[in-house]
Parts: sequence; C-alpha cells; structure tokens
Amino acid sequence: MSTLADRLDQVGAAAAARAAHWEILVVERDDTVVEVGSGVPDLVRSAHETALCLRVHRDGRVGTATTTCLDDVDALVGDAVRNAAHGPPASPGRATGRNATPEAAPASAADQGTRSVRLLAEELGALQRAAGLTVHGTVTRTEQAVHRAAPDGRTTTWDRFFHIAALAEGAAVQLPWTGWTRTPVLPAALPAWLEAAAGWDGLPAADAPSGDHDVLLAPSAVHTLLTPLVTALNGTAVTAGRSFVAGHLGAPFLHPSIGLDDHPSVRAAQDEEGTGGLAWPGSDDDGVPCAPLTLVERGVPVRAYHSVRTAAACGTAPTGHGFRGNALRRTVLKPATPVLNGATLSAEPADVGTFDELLAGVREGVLVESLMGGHQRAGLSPVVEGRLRLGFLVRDGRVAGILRQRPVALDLREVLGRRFRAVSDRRWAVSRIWSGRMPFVLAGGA
Amino acid sequence: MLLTSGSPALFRDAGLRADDYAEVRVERARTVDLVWRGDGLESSVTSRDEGCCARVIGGAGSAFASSTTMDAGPVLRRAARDAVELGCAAGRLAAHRPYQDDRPGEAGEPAETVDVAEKMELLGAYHAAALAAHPGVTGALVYYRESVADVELFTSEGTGVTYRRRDLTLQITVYADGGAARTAGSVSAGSGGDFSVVRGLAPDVEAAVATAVDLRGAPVVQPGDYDVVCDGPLAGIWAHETIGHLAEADHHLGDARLQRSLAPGRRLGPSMLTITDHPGRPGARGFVPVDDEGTAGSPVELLREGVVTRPRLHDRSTAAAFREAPTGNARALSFRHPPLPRLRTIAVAPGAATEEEMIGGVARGLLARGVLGGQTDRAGFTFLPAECREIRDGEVRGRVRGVVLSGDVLGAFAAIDAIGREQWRGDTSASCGKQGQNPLPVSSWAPALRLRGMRVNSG
Repeated sequence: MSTLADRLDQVGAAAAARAAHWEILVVERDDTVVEVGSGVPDLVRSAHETALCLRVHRDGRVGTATTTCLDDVDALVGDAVRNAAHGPPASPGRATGRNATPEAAPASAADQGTRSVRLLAEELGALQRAAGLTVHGTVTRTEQAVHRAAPDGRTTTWDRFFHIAALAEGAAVQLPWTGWTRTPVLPAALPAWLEAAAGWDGLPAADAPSGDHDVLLAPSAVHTLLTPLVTALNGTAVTAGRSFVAGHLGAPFLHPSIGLDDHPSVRAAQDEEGTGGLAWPGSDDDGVPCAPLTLVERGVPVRAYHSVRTAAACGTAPTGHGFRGNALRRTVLKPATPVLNGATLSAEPADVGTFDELLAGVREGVLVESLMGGHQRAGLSPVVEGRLRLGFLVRDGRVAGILRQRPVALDLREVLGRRFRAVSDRRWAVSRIWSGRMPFVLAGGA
Repeated sequence: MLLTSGSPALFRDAGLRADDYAEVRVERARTVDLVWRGDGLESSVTSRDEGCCARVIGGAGSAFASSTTMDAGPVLRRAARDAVELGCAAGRLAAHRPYQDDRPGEAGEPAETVDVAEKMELLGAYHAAALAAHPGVTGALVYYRESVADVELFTSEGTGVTYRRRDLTLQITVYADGGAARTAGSVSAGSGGDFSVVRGLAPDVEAAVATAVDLRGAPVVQPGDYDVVCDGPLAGIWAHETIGHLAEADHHLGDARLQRSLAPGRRLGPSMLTITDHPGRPGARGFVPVDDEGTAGSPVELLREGVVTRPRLHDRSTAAAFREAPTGNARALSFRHPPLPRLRTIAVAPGAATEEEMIGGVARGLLARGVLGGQTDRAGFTFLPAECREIRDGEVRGRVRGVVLSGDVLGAFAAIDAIGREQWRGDTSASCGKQGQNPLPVSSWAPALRLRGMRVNSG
C-alpha cells in the first residue's frame, strides 16, 4: 500500500469519526515545461504537486478544507469540521464519491518522459527557421492522477498530455497558437498556420472596410464570441442571477444550422489538429459521470451545464461539469464550479467548408484572429465589446493587409445568427476559462 | 527557520556548478474563502498551502522547480539537474540591495483574529440585504478571501530573508434584470489583511443595488468620442494597466519598439502628470517592502511631469540584461512560480483641480466611476466602468449603460488635461494577472483624471 493510500485511509477514518459523510479528492500532478525564446529553449520549469480536498457532512451542513500538507490529518479534518459548523446546507441526494466510468489509461506511445518535452521544444524552435518568424513559446508535459475516496469506495484515474503554446512574431504580426496532444509530436496544424502567417507579415497596415462587410473569425476569436453564451449557460451564472439566457431556454437564438455540444474527443485522430489532448475524464470532481451534452441544438439554447451544487440550486440534475480548475488542470485549492472541457461548435454539413474555401468566399471583409476585452462582460450580455488584437483585411479572397487596432463590438446573435454563412471543417483547441474545439466562422455582410 | 537552520549545506550538496546562482523559497500559507451566491451561503473553505521552490541560474542553463513537499533538498537538486540536462540558455543576475529590515508590523485589525462566526454574520447580512433590497434584483454574489503566507528565502549568495504576505479582498456584485442584458452594481474592498475595511459597507451595498436597478432603465450610451472624468479607483487601475504594465522590464527584452516608446526623456503626457511605482505602505495590498528575490523595494518614478524618467521595473535578471539596478519588483504569486517583474503600488500624483472644475469644463462627456472589467495588451486598453453618468454642459445627469472605454495605451496620456487634487488611496479587490500568476495583490492610488476625446463604445 502506498503512502498516499495510507493517508487516504487515515483521513477517511478521522473524518468518519466526526462526520456523517465524507468525500476526498486528491490530485497528484507533475509538470515539466520548457520555455522557448527566439527559437531557442531557454528555461526549464518543473512542478510536483499533491493536494487534497476533504468535504464532510455534519448536522446537515457541508464543511470543506483543502491542503497540500497531507501529513497533518488532524488539522485538515479539524478545518473541515469547523467549517461545517457554519457551512452551507448539504443538498439531498448529492453524488457521493465514485467514478461511474473509470477513465481508460492513455496509450504510452513514444513518450520518453521529460526528454520528450525538450525534443518538442527544439522542434518548436526549429519552426523559426522554417517560417521566417521569431518563435517563442512553451511546451508542457503533464501527468495527472486524480484519486477520489468516499465511504463506498475509492477510484483513481490518470492522464498524460502535452500542451504547446506558440507565439510567432514578425515585423507586424504577433500570432499565437495553442494545442494539446497525447503524443510528443508537433501538430501539423501549427507549422501550416505559421507558414500562412509568415506570408501575411509583410503586408501593409490597413483599415477595415467601411460599412457592412464579411467577417471571417479564427478559432480564438470564435471562442471569445461564444464566451458570453457559454458563461450564461454556466450553472453558476444561472444561480447568481446574471445569465441573460437562463429565462429563454428553448427560444431560437442562433442560426438554425448551429450546434454546440460538449463531447469527448477522438484522441489520436485529432492530435495533428492540436485537439487530441483535450481532457475527457470519466467523472467530474463531484463524482458525477461525464457524458455528452448538447447545449445549443439547431440554434436554440436548450440546457445549462452544472456541478452538483448549481444543479441542486436550480432543482435539476448535475451534468458532470463540476471541476476544481478544469479537467486539463485540476486545482484542488479552487472551488468546484461548472466548466466546459470539450465544447465543439458545429454546423449542418451544407454549411461546412475548408478554410481556403471560406477565405475565397470573402470579396471584401476582415479576418479576425483575436480580440481583446471580450470576456469582461461575459454572461451579462450577448454583445462582445473590446478591441481588435490581430486582424487582416481580406480582398477578393486573399489576405491583403494587417488591420490597425480599433474598437469592435460583435453581437453573437448577429454573427452566429442572421449573418452566419459557414464554418470550417477543421477545428483548433482553445482554452481560456473554458475549453473547446473551435472552427473558423464566416459571417456575411448585412 | 523552516529550512536549514541557516546552514549552507543545502546549496553545497545540490551539485551546483561554480558559477551557478541558486535560491530556495519555502512558503506556508493559510487561506479562508467565503462565498454567497444564489439564495445563501455557497461555500466556506479553509486551505493550507505549503511547499517550496528552487531556482538555478548559471552558465550551463536555468531551471525552476517547485513541489508541495517541504523538503527543499530534492527540489533544488532537480532544478540543478534540469538546468544542465534539459537546457538552456545561460542566465545572469544583477547585483542587488538585499532586504535587511525587520518584519514590518501588522496594521489594523488582522483578519485571522476575527471569529469566523462574526465574519459569517457580517458578510451574510450584506448578501441578504442585497437580495431583499429591490424586487428587480435577480441575484447577488459576495466573495470574501483572506490569506496569510509566511515565506523564507535563502540564496547561494548568503541572503536569508523571512517575510509575511497578507491579503484580504471582498467583492460584492448585485445583478438586476435589464431585459436582453443583465445590469450590475458592485462594491469592491481590499487590504493587506485588515478586516476593518469590510465593516460598515451596508451603505455601499445599497448604492450597488441602486446602480443595478437604475441601470435597467438607463439609456445605452451612443458610441462616439467623449470627454471622460474618471474617479480615483478607475484612474488608478487605468494607470496600472497602461504605463504600469508597459514598464515591466521583461516586456522590453527584445522589443526595440517598446524601448523607443518609453525612452527616458520622451514626453507622454501633460506637465502635471507624475506616476510612480513604489513599495506601498503597511496594511495595503500593494505593500512589498521586499520582493521574492530578497531585494529591498525602492520607488521607481516612471513619469515625472509628463516625461519618461525610469521606464523599467526590474527583477534581477532583467536588470542584468539592461545593466540597470534591480528595483524590488520581482514578485511570485506563490512557491509554484518563479518571480517576474510585477507592479506593486502605482501612484498618480495629485494635481490641482477639484471634481467640480473638471466636470464644469465638459460640454459632452461622461463621469465614470469604478471598474467592472478591463484588459490591456500593452498596445491598446479597454475598460468597463462600474458606473457612468452623462455630463452635459458642465452638469452631471443620469446614468447611462453599456459604456466601454478604449484607446491606445501610449496615446491616452496626452488626452489628460486635468488632474484632481485628492489622491484616492483605498484598496479594491482588483488584482493583477500575468503569465498565469493571478491574483497578485496590488494597490493603485490616483486622483480623478479628465481625458479629452476618449473613444466610447457600447456593449
């Protein structure tokens, strides 16, 4: 029996002596990060973390305590019991502790441990020579084990993945790209995108066309555009009374071609797009099984996503989205809140094309790579207002200039509603607050 | 001492090379989080967060390692090994002035001395009052956090420093149903652990309710150029997000354009504009008498009378790169992170104008108070004030909603034409985020500012 297993037994026994019910979540994580500056690996970071969360039910109330000091069982249990004395009421029928669908262990193909990180970082740095842009970034290898224990048993799941974050810098362009894979190979989508960006770096500065024009949004910008809706469908926003969509579920909101689902990835097949490493755990940190969930069906928001707590507050069933941090990066010291880990935006087959086809369809318009400030009113309003961070002028299906920074306001009801035309067939991973696979989206002029 | 009883054996036994610099930071933190949401208390959590980290910088390479164990030896050896085996570029550090003062005294009413039942009663009453204040209120969030962290820092140069970091924040947000969108009013308070700042906030909660409720019927602002009078809290955060972040020296590395933009002697704003980043005062969130490299904090005057003076806030690495002196700005969120150049307390010096004078000089404008959200990418900024009222012909009129202020970071300084005489020195719950290290406590002190011709969008 391992030291950690002993410790779980001790905490469970001590909690059982003082509480009617107890649940433990332990996360063990090892990260190795190599930072790349100007095409050269220049710093290594490593982190080992073991953290435990104990939740007890006592006299009908919940008490929670977390610690990284697993040796001090008395202090941990004492903190949880003291918090239960004034804690929130325990919800009837809470999920109690076990993974209903234990996660399969990932394949161990071709991973040379931390050495893989260095090799990937060197490959990332080598893109500087290939693309002709200065390349910065990080490569992270993460191993994460999640242990859950309760009076009815104990489960352990584990995961391993690579995260690649790149920033290609030219004379005028600063282009970010991120991806997650389960194999230590650079996703093919990354060099392809950098090659395209390198071709745009020498273009002149330009203003956006006046009047209505086509808008082609890159995955990062699509993520920003969707954030108000994703936030408004979050059980936390619903219970806090700040969701603009909570009272309008079932009413048409977006173009009838559009769907938004949270569902598992097909791992290996998507590594070359950088989406294969997105997490899909068997259960959330409340112990509720994770299952596919449709959030928007044919343009209609149909349901919110919940943790056990927000579901109880709304009188509905939990959906398996209660995570401390998120599924990619469990942070035991944070509270469990609803989070999407694999949201996928899609459209009917007739409205899907390649990126080149979408770009070719723009006679006069803009390609928006990223926006700034789009998250600041998330959940309160369907309008994303902020500034253009990086965008390009498009004329006759070709990128013709680099847009000057300017304020922008995008109403997702328009861009993904009456102006929606098509999405790309390829999706990239984007993870900021919530994670998903986002396509390019083309919206036409009014 | 937590670590070595002062023995350098830890460094001797780590396998360091002769030209390696190494440091070890050990930390014990305790945090209390209390959250009210929906119709009552959502969570009450106590966290004990302990661990250590080690950093090795030398000719063979640089590495940082952290662990939730308290045994620093293996962590230091891991960093030393990674520096050689996995990488990387050689690093070097500038000489610095080590912090040698005694631990600063506690200020105010230490939060950990207040009984939790009293906290629950006080903060729960704010939540209940917000929900009950008006039928148009759809929800309220009360988020309270206090933390105390004891840190020990030891270096292979012989530095040994212990210090305590304390922080306290309270954010209250009230929501009302504004039809297609929700409206919000907020209360934001913070301190360096002084609980007294969250007492007596019932009138502020009432004001937040009034803001959220009134905004439901307020007209949406018409996009255009406005003269904007920003109150002290908004002006302080604006200064932090603009000149403050621009001055973090790691952004200057390899960025010749930024270095030219902030070249000493360059005029950015009017002659009444002076902005300083300094170690702050005891009891405030941005009080950093010693940074996480053990450097004693010193003030850095970024702008004097509108002209760039010292444009860079340093850690020891960036100071070496620019052949300048470390400024005491190397800050790490916790033992999980290496220190980076970060802001502490940014202060806009007071001017001569009264608020009445600033408002009286505006024909078409806005009076903006507080911050609901904001972001900058060092080229542009965008802010959502917590509350905005219209100014017409020198008179403050009703609320408008949907106001988003945006502009170019460097261009906005020239738009300032009046600075208030009262410098606001309170703390809010607003914290700083950079490279995944969030929320780092900071303070922003500023008088009211008037900016001519700011771009305003509606959202």
